[in-house]
Formats: sequence, C-alpha cells, structure tokens
Amino acid sequence: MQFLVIGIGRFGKAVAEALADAGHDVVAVDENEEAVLEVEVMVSQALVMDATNERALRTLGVGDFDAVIVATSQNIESSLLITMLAKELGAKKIVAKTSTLLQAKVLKRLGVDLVVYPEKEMGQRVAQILTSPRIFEFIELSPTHSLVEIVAPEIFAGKTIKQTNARADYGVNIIGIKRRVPEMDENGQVTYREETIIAPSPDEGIGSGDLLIVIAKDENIEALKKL
Amino acid sequence: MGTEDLLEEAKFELLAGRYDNAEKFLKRILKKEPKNIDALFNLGVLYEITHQDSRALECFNQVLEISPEHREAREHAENLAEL
Repeated sequence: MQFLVIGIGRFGKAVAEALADAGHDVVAVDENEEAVLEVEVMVSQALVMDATNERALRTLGVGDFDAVIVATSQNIESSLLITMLAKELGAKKIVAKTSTLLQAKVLKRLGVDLVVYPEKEMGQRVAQILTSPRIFEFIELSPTHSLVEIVAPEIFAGKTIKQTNARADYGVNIIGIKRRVPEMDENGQVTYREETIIAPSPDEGIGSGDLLIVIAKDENIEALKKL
Repeated sequence: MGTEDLLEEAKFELLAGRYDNAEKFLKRILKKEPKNIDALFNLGVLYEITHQDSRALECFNQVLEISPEHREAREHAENLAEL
C-alpha cells in the first residue's frame, strides 16, 4: 500500500518507520530539512516541502495514496489547513494526529477518518500500568471497553478457560494467553521460552503467572484486578 | 536436606510448573545462605516466569552485586530493565 506522511515529528516518524518496515511505500514530507534527512533512509521518498502550499501538495498526487497521515499537530492552523487541502485533493483516507480535544472536534468536522490522540492514549496506558502492577498492557478500545494484558488471578490458576466461567461470572473475554514456559538450557540452568496462544480453546488451561489478554468493560477489568 | 539437594528439588519443581513448591525450596536455601547465587538466580527466573518482574529484577541485581561477572543474570536484568 502507499502512504503519505505529512509532518515528521516523533509521531510522524514512528508511523512512517512502522509502515516502511511492514513493506509499504511511504512518502514523508516536512518543512524541516533535518527531519527529512533523518527518515530518508527508511522511506521510499522523503521531501522538504511546505504542505500548507496547495500547489506543492498537488504535485504529490494526494489521491493516489491509500491514506494520508497528517502528523503536524504542534501547529494547529497548519494541521487543519493541510487536512482540508488533502480532502479537497481527493485523499481516500485521512488520519490526523491531535493534541487537544478542540482540534479533534474540528478535524472530525472536516471529515477526517481517524483522529488519533497519542498523548492522551499513552497517558491513560501509563496510568493504568502504573496503578496496577498486574496490568502489562492497556489499550482503550472505546469509552467503555478496553483490551488489557493482566496476570491471571490466582483463582483461575489450574482451571481451563471454560472452568473459570470468565465470561458469565466476570464479563471478560479471554482472547489470548501469554506464558513463559520453563525449560532447561544446555548448561543445566533453568530458563524459559515465551509462548503466545491466540484465540485459545475453552479447554486451554491457565497456569499460575500466565498473562491473560482480555477484552472487557472497564468496570469488569477493575473487578478482575481485585480477584 | 543439603543445599545441593534443595536446589535440585527447586529446579525440578520449577520445570514442572509447581512454582509455589519451587519458591519454598529456594527460600529454604536463602534462609541458610542469603547470598547463594544459584538460589537467587533461580528465584529470579521463577519470578520472571510468573510475571513478577520487579521481584525478578531485585533477585538478578542481588546476584550481580555478589557476582558482577554472572552473564545470565546480567542478560535477564537487562531484559527486564528494557520492559
């Protein structure tokens, strides 16, 4: 797929790098020459350009990309202008980064397909992880539901998923299990290997210390933490 | 039971996934010999396997305080510090 990343700050650079690593064609543009030079080796094409300049943006053929990522949220005015221009120039899909709620609302009104709020999302993840040592990962899926990686409660240990009655009794869906399986290395030292079971069968057993990948309502996750 | 036997029992229980038993054997060793590197290291591995990462890191750091050259403990500690 082809992607256009406008704005090569920390976020834009990370998105461009991840897309390029996944084998996609990425064109990255920024006004700042230093930023462009930094991503030059990673992406298909990196250009120094003022994306608020309609004529310059037009030369890129915005409509040919599968998605345009507007990652210039530091300057709200230019972020909005670029988004508007990208829309007018026929962008198939626009993803825009925002750092304020107000900007997010305006971007939505402009028809942005996906507004991302990395600072807020990261803040929530860090807060969750810090306040619960049993939570290893936290992703907000909606205002009411989240996906978490949580150390299996002791009362689940030694039971199969079916026997835990996780869905009926606790309102949580176990969609994966990550475990560290002990083994002995060639020097007779006990070590372990990582094992991840995605979409485990109801008969899969849960061991002590397993990490459960769970999707649930936030209140049910809170209850699970206390088990 | 001597230290060697306790350590063997602990490793056996650890490999069998009976972590509570393994922890008891290792703590028995550490009660007698608080600076026993093998017991501290295996306790670190046990905590790591059961996702008690801060406890695991404490154990590996203790191993490194006693024996800074312990390569495996350093690898485990670095791995945990990265997470």
